[in-house]
Amino acid sequence: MPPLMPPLLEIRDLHLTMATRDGPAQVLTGVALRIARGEIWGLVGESGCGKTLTGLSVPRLVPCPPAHYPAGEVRLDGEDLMALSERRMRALRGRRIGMILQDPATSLNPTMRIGDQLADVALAAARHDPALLGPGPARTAARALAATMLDRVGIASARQRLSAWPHEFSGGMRQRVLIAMALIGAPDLLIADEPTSALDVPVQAQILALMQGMAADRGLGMILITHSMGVVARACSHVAVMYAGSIVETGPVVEVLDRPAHPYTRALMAAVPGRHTPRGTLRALPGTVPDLLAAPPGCRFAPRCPRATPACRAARPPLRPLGAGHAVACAHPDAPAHG
Amino acid sequence: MTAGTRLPRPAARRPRALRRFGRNRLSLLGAGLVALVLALALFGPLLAPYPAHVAGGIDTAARFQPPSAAHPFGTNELGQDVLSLTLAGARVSVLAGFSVVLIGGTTGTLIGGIAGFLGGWIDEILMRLTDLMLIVPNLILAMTVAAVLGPGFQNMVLALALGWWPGYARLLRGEVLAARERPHVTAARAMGASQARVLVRHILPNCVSPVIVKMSLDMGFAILMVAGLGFIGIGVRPPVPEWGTMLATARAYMPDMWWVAMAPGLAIFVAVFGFNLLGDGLRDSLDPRGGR
Repeated sequence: MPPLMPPLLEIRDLHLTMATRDGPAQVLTGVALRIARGEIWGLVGESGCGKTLTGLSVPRLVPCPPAHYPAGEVRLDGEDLMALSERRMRALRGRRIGMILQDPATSLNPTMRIGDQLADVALAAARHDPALLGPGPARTAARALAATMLDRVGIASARQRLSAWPHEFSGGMRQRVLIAMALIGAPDLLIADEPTSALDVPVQAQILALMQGMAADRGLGMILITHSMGVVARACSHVAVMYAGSIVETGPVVEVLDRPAHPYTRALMAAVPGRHTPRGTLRALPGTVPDLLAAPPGCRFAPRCPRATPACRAARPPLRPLGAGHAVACAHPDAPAHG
Repeated sequence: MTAGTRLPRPAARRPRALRRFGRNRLSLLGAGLVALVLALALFGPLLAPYPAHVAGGIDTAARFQPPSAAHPFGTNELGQDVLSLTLAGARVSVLAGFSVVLIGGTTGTLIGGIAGFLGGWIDEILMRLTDLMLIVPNLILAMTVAAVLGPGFQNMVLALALGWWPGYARLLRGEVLAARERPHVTAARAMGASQARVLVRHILPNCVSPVIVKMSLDMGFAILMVAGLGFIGIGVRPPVPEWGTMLATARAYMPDMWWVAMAPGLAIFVAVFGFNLLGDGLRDSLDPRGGR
C-alpha cells in the first residue's frame, strides 16, 4: 500500500564517508528509515555504529569536510534536505527539526541565562514562522513563550527561572530545559541523542514520560537515539537496530522485541537483564564493532556472528520484509513465528 | 539595553574565582596598587599641592630643592614640585596604557576570533599577517610610527596599538578553535543560530577570561612602553607631565639631584608591579589549570 503523502522523514540509502588520517572510513553505508508523525523511533546499537551521525545528518550538522556524503537522500515531507542551501537549511533547524544533543551538562551556553537562550531560539524560529509568538514586542513575547515552555517541561516557578544560569540547574533540569529549547520552535521532528543516558534512573523515567507526552500532544515524529533496549521498550513505538553503519533490523517495537530476527538484535537483548533473567544467563556479545577503515565486504556482523556462512562474508544481505512492518538484513534470520 | 551590557564571563566560575582571588595576598596587593594608580589617574591633578606647576608654571628661585616638608619629593630644574607632576602624570600614563590595551585588545580579539571561527584561507592570511607583525619588535615599530606621525598623545597610542594586537589575535584564535568544538556551540547551531550569532553569543563570551587576564598583564607593559616612548622623547611633550619624559629630563642631573628621578621612577614601578600582580592573580583564579 503506497502512501499518498510523503512520510514526515524519509532517509534513503544514506552513505557517509569520514576522511581520517588513515584514509576514508565508511561510517554510514545505506541507512534507510521512514518516520511518520506520532511515531517514536528508537535507534539502537553499540557505541560507534553510526547512531549519532545518522541523527546529526538530518539537520546537516556533521561538518563537511571531514565528512562527505557520496549518496543518499534525507527527505522532510518530501523535500530533500541534502539539496538545500545552508541558508534554507538553517531556517529548518530549531523550527521544523528540533534536536537534543548527547550531554545535557554541556549543551547549554554557560555564559547566557536560561531565559535568554530559550528566547533566542524562539526569536530565530519566529523569523520563519511569525505565528509562533503571541502579540506584542517580539522579545517580550519570546520570553513569555520561554516561560510557558519551561512550565510545560515541569520546571517550577518558570518565570523566575528565566534569569537563572545553567550552572544553577541539576542535570535533570538542564535536560528539561533542552527539551523545552528543542520544542520551543514547534518542530515536526525531534531528534534526541541519548536524552537519558547522563541522568539518574528515576529522572530517566520522568524525562522519557515527558518526551512521550510532548510527542503525543504535538503529533511529533521522534528519533530517540539510545544504546538501551530498556529505553526502547519503555518509550518507543518503533525500533531500528544499527550495526556498523547500517540498519540491520527494523519494525514496530512489539514485533522486534518479541521476535528478534537478527542475531545482533538477539545479542543486544540478551545483554539486558530482565525481571525473570536467571543468574548466569546474561551474556555479553564477544568482539567489537569492526574497523570501518577495513570493513569486511559482506555482512559487517559476520565476524561476530555465530551463524555466519561463507555466503555472509561474500555479499551484504539487504533489508528484507518479514511482515507486519518488520524487516531484517540477514541471510539466516530467525524465522519469527507469526500468529 | 541592560542585557547586552552585562559582563559576559563564565558565570559558573565567578563566585569560586572571586574566593580564590581573595585568598591570594599578592593578588590583593596588586588590586590595591592598581586601585591607587587608577585613583591617581582620576584625582591626581586635584591632589597636587602645586596645581600651578602642573599647568606649566615655573619657579626658578626654588630649583633643585631636596625633599622637604614643602616638597616631599623635592623640586626639579624648573623649580616645579616633583610630587605634583608625578601625581598629575598618572593620568597620561594610565589613559595611554588603557587606550593601547583596549584598542589593541579589541582589534586582536576580532581578528583572531574571525580567523579561528572561519578557518581556511581567511585564517591563513590573518595569521600570517599576525606573524609578520610579531617579527617587528614592539618598541622599534612604535618609535618608527611615532616618529613619522610626530609626537602627541594620540599618535603615541596609535603607534603602540599597532604593534599590540597580534598577541591577542593569536590568543583568541586558539581559544576560539577550542570553544567552537564545545557541545553547546553545536547545540546552538542545531537550534538555527546564524554564524554571526554563534560567534558573538556562544563562542566569544566563553573566551573572555584569558583576554581579561592578558589585558591586565599588558596594562603594566603598556605603561612601561608609554614611559619608554616619553623617555626617548617621542611621547607626550612637556609641559604635560608624563613619567617617562620626567625621567629623561632628570637623567641629566643624576646622581646629584637624585630626587628628581625618584618619584616618577617609583610611580612607574608601582603601576607596572600592581598591574602584573593583578594579572597574575586573575589568571590564577580564572584559569586554575595552570599558568602560561
